[in-house]
Amino acid sequence: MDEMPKTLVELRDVAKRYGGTEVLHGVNLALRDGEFMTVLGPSGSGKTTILRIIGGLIRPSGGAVFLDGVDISAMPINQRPFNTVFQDYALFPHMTVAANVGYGLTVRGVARAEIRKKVDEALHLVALDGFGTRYPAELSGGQQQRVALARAIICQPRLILLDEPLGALDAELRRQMQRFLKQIQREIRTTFLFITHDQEEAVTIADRICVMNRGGIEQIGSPREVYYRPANEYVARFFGDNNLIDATVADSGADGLRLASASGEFRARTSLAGIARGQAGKVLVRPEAIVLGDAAGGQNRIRVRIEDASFVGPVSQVRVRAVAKPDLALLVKLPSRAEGILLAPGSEMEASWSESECHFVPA
Amino acid sequence: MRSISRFLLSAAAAVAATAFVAAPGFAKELRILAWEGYADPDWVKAFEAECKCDVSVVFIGTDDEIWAKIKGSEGKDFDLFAVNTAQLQRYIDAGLTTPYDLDKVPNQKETLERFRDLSKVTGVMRDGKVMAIPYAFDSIGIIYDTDKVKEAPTSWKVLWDPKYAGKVLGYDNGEHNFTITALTMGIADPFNLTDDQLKEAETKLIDMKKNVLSFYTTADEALQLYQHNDIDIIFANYGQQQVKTMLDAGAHIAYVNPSEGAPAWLDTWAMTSGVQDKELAESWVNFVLQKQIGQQLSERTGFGNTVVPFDSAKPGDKLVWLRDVEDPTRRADLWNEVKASP
Amino acid sequence: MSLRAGIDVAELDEGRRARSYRIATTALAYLIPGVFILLPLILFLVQSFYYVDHGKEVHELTLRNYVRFFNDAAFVPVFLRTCILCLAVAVIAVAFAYPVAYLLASIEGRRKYVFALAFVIPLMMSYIIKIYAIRAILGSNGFLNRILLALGIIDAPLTFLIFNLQAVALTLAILLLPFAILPIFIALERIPRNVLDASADLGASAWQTFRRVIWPLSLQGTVVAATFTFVLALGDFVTPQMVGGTSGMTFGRIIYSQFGFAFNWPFGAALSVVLLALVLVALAITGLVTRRHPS
Repeated sequence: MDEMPKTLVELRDVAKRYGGTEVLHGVNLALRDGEFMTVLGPSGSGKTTILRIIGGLIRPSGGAVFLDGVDISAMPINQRPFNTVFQDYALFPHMTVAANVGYGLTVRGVARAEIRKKVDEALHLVALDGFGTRYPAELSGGQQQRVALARAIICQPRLILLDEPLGALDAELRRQMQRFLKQIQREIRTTFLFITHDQEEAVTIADRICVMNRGGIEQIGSPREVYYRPANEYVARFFGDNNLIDATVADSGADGLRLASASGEFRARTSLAGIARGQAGKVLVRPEAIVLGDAAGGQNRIRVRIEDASFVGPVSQVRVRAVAKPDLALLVKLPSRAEGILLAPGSEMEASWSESECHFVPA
Repeated sequence: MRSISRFLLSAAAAVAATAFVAAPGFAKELRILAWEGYADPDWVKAFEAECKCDVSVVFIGTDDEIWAKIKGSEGKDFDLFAVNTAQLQRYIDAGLTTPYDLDKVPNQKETLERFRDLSKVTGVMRDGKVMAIPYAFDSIGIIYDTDKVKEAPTSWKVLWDPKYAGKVLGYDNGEHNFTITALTMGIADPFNLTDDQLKEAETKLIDMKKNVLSFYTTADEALQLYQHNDIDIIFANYGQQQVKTMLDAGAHIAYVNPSEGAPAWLDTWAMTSGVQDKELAESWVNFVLQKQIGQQLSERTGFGNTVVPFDSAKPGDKLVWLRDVEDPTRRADLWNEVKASP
Repeated sequence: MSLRAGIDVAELDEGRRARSYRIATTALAYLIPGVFILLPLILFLVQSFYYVDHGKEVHELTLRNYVRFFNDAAFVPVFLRTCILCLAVAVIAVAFAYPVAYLLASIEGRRKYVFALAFVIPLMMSYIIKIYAIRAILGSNGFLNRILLALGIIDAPLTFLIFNLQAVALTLAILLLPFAILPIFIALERIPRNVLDASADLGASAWQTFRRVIWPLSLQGTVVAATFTFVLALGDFVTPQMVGGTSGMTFGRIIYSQFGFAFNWPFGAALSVVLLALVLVALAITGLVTRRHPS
């Protein structure tokens, strides 16, 4: 990222209403050329609506869609240089795999021999060599998924839209496909817009994540940004079990923030602009950023009592409570060890975390 | 003086007889099997009062039903039944009928001329004995539109007249079409055609088909076709019933029996072989051959009666009483060929 | 131990009862169609090998009915004409039904089922009344002619509208239209919305989507519709008589006359067997066409 990549598709104040209900209000989103963007949100957040508006399946009620700076809001779906991988693949059941994959070229009147060549290439790309004569019903879910992908990339679209494409697959296949998609995206150097409601998937796969909620965008940023530097409490809560502590800004300076809370003062580094003294919000610290033990040396420290510890696979979860202020509970995640975590419930110790692991989200 | 005493005597006898019998009914009973309209309640009541008897009437719906009831009881369940002359033959053959004593049916002498001499009415006599007495009839003729056909047709040939091409309504039944064609050909017995005669009639019917707009099967259907199409001539298979239906619907039509002869069915009264009181049965027949009842029968049913002239036939009209045909299957097959011909 | 044994016996009883229930239902499932469909058909087939002599049925097996069918100049042409007529009925009915079904299927939401039902309701009306209505519309003094005359479009009533084979084909097509609409509607209904979206998304025009996706995916339903109308038209013997005029002689009418007028049941049965064979051929062709795709 030496140089700012140019914007491919841009949504400006895009809104969508069905009858009296607004499912999308005033969305602004710029998609960079060549990036893998994930739109993440719970169902009903408007993420599929965004995809359908870009794809041309539905028209926005307000605002406009731009491609290379040109308004394409009125461009019919079949003329947009975008292709979609649908949620349940939407393969043509009466066509062979080869006919499915070659469909986009067939309707463009490309010569047969050319189509055959490109279909073979596309099938090779998705590792389905030799599957051309089969019918979709004869394939497994993962194979159908790859046919749908091959079908979408064959016309070399500027943008590939993926509508929760991995929803129907089991966990293992899902992880495989995530890696596979990412690999293909790098290979063909095409922009991907990937819709999902799974935050882990979004974080794994995306260059940038657009977090949506109730028809609006909460935050756009790299996985690390939305994970460690959520723009607001919604995003903070959406990504797992963050510890959130009520606080107000006591002082803000170039080296960070001083935050006053009922449990004492915390220090945080944050890049969020425009945070002023007296602003109310929450102190955020990720469970895995907290170190337990008197020897640990973070800038932020509280004395806590261990409530319980549980083993949940690679990490162990420890619940602790501030000694001085028992209504403050914190969740701590530690790497699991074979011998278990030697923390007796009821014992007291220091919980600490560094300034750089501490974040402030305005209310 | 003598007559008065005789009257008193007979009156006394009647009173005694009445007293002797249990109160609600009379000793004499007459059991009739007939079509609806042939033994109406008012006539039955009047007859019961006159003859001091009980009359029970059972109505039937089909020819086969009559056969089942009469044959089934070997004539024992009924005294009198109504049957057409074509059907009558098998009852006579099976010995299920009893001949009439015409002296006991004096009104028969007063019937219309064509029914007076029973030897001239085909089928009612056998071996010089009167097996049935004609009661009601109707003919198969021609209905024409009086607005469009100025001169009343007189011949079946009107069905072939190119003047009415596409304006003729035919009837969809092989038997009768061959019968009227045979009549047109001047064949004396249109019910017993030779193979050559059938073939010739078939050719003629194929010609007729070219004149016909469509073939109908029911009187209602004919009326509907008439109302929605330009129709001048109808082969009126249902005779007066059809005339009445059309007149009621406001059609301007009239009816003729063609000069070659109109096929006609004739219903008669026949006595069963098991008749209990023959004289009582004969007096019923005599009773219903009154002018008043004949008039009422025609007014109520539309059929011709045998006592008073009515619409079914003018006195001079030639009627050909329907008989069983030589081979119904053959006629149906030939009729199919007629209809299938291009 | 004794308790366990008791349970085992109970389970055994349960199993036996379930098995005999299953056998009984299976037997019924074969018996009912066997008795009410197959048996009459077999009796019919047997009767077609009898013959009638002077109005009496002779119970001697003979091929004469079939020989007569193929040799008599009247029957084979009518049979062929009837086949062509019924093919025309199927084509006309499908041609009308497809656009109707298409529009029905494209209505949004549950309303489409209400509209579809509206097209099925005519099936519950009397068949004869519908034919009467059609005759009242198409006759030379009919509704249509009166309107055209009143509007001054024609000077004399049109007489080619009714009482010919075209009128039979048209009337049958109209009467059988619901049977054609339903299978096509169901086939179109079953095409997932996103398959059509995918086609457009891949660059297909509306016509290309129709030709390459909608039409092939609704072809089965369309063939079923054509078969329905063809088979039902074959068996019809009322419509040709009522609107065919003097040229409305179809195979169904010939069969009807064998039972209704000629009282030649064996010959009628033989002709019915010929018709049944044709129906089976039509169904076999339908089966072949609709089994082509493993979807």
